[in-house]
Amino acid sequence: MTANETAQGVPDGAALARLLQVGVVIEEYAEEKSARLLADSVDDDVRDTLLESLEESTEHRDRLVELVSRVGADVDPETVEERVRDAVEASVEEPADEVEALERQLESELMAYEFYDDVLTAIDDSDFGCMDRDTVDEVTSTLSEIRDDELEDAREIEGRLTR
Amino acid sequence: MTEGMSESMEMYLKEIHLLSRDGHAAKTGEIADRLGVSPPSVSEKLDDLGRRGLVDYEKYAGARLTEDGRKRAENLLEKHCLIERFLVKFLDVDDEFHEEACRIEHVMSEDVAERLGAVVEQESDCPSCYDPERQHCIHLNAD
Repeated sequence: MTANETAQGVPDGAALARLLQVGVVIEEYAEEKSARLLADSVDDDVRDTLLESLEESTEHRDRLVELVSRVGADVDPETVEERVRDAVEASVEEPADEVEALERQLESELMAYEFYDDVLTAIDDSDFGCMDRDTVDEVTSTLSEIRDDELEDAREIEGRLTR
Repeated sequence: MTEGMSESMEMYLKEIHLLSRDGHAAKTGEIADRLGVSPPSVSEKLDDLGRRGLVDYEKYAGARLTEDGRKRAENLLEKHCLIERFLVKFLDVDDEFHEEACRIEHVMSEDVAERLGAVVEQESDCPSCYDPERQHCIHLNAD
C-alpha cells in the first residue's frame, strides 16, 4: 500500500468481509467470556443478565456469519469457536463477585459497540463500487441494529453498577 | 482512525518512527522509498505533520518525531500488531496478514484496538516487536 491520499472508509468489499469476520470473532469471544463469568460467585440476578448477553451474542454472531456470506466471503464458525474458547480458557479467570462479573461483561459490550460504530462510520465514507446497493444497505442496517443492542446492554449494566 | 488524522498521516508517522527509532533522523528519500511516493510529496507531508506538532523536520537533516508524534506512532504500531495477530490467531490468515491489517486498521479506533489487546494477549515488547524489514510482528512466524 502506498501513502497516497485515500478514502478513509472501508477500502473495498474484501475489507468489509474481513471486518465482518472480525465481528464474528468478537461475538464469539463475548459469548465464551459470558459463559466463563457464570461462576458460582454470582447471584441469580447477575446470572440471568449474563445468560441473556450470552444468547444475544450467539444471535449476533449468527447474523454476522450470514452477512459474511452475503458479501461473498465465508467464515468457519466452528474453527472460530475452537480458537476463541482456547483463548478464553487461557486468559479469562472466574470473577470474584457480581460486581467484577458485571464490569467484565460491560467490557465485552463496549468493545462490540465501539467496533460496530467504527465500522458503520467507515462504511458511511466508503464507495464499494461493484457491490450492489441492497447488500451495502443490508450490512448497514444489520450492523446498526447490533450496535444499538450492544449500547442498550452496556447502559443497562452501567446503570446496575452505579445503583 | 486516530482523531483528526488521515490514513496517509498515520502511515507517515509509523514509517518515520521505524526509520528513526535507532536515534537517527529519517531522511526524506528513505521515507519516500518505504511509502512508494515522491520525495516532494514527503516534504509536503512532513511540513504538515510539523505544523501539527508531531514531527521536527529540517529539509536536509531529516525528520524526527516529537514526543506526541512518537506516542501516536507507537499506538498505531501496537494496533497494527494486534490486528495482525488477531487475523492469524482467530481467522487463519497465514498469508499477507500485514497487507490485510493495513487494509482494515484505519477503520478501527484506538479504543477498539486497546480492547482487542485483551482478546489477543498483547506481547510485552509491543510495538518494538514490529520488524520493518519483514513488515510484521516478529512473534508471527512468517516470511
